[in-house]
Amino acid sequence: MSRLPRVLIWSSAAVVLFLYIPILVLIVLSFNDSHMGAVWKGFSLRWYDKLIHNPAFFEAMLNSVLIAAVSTGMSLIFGVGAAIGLEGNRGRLLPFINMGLVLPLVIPEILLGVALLMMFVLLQIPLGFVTIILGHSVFSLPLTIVMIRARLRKLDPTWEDAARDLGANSWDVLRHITLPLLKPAMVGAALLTFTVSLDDFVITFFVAGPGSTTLPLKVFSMIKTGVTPEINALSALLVLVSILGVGGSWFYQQRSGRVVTQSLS
Amino acid sequence: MEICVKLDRVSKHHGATVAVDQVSLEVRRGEFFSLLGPSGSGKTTLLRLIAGLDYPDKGQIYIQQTLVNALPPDKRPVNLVFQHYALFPHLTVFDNVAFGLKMRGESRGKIQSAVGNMLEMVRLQGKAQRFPNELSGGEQQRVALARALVNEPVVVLLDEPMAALDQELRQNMHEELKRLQQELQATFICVTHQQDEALMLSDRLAVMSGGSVLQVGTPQEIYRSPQSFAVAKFIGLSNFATGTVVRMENEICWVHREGLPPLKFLRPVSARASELVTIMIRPERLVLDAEPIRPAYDNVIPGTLEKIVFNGGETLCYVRLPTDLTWVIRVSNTTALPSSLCAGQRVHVQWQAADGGILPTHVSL
Repeated sequence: MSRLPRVLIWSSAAVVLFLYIPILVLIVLSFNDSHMGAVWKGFSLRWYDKLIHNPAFFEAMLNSVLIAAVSTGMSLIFGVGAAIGLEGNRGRLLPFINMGLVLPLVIPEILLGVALLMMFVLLQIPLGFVTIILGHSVFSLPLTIVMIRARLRKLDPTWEDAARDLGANSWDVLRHITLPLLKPAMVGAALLTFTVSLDDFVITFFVAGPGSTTLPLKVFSMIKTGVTPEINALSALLVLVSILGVGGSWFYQQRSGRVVTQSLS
Repeated sequence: MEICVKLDRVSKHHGATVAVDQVSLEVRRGEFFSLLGPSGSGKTTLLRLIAGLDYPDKGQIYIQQTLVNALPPDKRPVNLVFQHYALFPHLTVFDNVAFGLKMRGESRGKIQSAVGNMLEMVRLQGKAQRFPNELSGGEQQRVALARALVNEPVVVLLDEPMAALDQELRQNMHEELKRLQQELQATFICVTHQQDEALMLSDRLAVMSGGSVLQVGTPQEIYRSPQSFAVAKFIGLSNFATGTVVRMENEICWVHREGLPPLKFLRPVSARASELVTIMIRPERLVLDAEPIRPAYDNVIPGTLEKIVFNGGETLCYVRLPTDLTWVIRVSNTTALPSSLCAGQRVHVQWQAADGGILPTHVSL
């Protein structure tokens, strides 16, 4: 491999620093033994201690996890079905469907939030867990479908032929061949949508109701009364969970992808 | 002989191209039958039609006297060994082989013993818990075979079974395949583009080209008496020349070619006087010497020895004939080439009438 020009190396480093310094500062300050945000007075875990003894925090965390789990599960079930259906389809409408699927991922979230709120009000669905879960599916479902389809395209169609030849009907093929081979993509998609759902603020802000406060909403409401180191601690935890989720998703797909591509060659 | 698979004027189109064109074939029970042809000749499509992975546009397919045209692959008593094996990457060797039995709802005990026996048969008993990507190419191929054979199909279909193996492995697998077929008494239909493979393994074979079957016969029949120029050219090495039938007399006919003496051949049933034909002689049937040998051969043509190519077990001699044709003569190195022969020398090419063949002509040579 040829050496990169020095300028490129330094500018890449600058970009990475720019991206991560704010998060690092936040994490460092969450260990600060001080009431005031920006002055370092020594290492302490007191803000974490205070956080875990705060019942409101626990409630928000439970809400977040519950919403993320249900919307991830729903997206997985419908997303896998939709992906398999779309991959087996060669209809003329397919390009439009494909475009329509990624649209929710690029439309400004605030518009989606307003639109969802209007829809729920029109349909007279009370705001709360149900509306948040449905709202999160708007981005979780397209994400899942895109990831599952990418994997489906890599699967060798002769595996299905081989299974059919060995006596499997369409249902057997799905159960014993397609779904097991999709497992890495399913785990990857689940980790990613779970994380995105956990972190979502904008849509949640619009469609949440009383008693369904999630962690990001909690952080936002705490900020209104001033940024305390307790928020830093909470944010640091959220960052950690997100990194684990996204990293796990990437790692899992890499590892299992290799097994399949190896046996193809 | 009982007919196991019968194709009756089967056609299959892929879009505008004809993949299989009006093919009729009969494969007998327990025989090793090969479909031999260049790539694109429709042989793999034919295999997929028999397996049920494709459906014919026209014609009938019978397996054991039952019309199977509309039967899905999981309802047919056949199993296919895929060209690149198509082993399931997420299943162990054991589970790959057990797949068909599981789909059939066999009991756990039956599966255990049947898969165990099969793995022993293909000499993979120690590798049952491995995954396909942990196996060598030869081992993967044996798993693919075991996965098909364990279901005791009426017909085993093989799609280029040796294509992904190296030369040495291929030799071993030839013997392995033949042994398995004889042990199981199963009917094998094997697609290949390698003529040596087809000639060595098959009881009978069909030569295919452009979606049609050109000729069906035993390897000996196909090699010794090809019925068309295409078959003669595809199988082995041959010397050709076009000429006109000038005289016929009982079993004998004479062919005239400008610049050559009249050539004597056995008369084919179809031959007509003054018909344009292609004559064909295999290189190992020709005898080469400086002077005509006594007692005389039926045909003797003078020529010039152009070059001599030593090829291990045999020597190939290229002789330029008076009519601008170059023929090749294969001399076995068990009998030394007459030491007096060298390139540039005048020689005589000679053969017996029964050693040549007459084909209907399509090309001018």
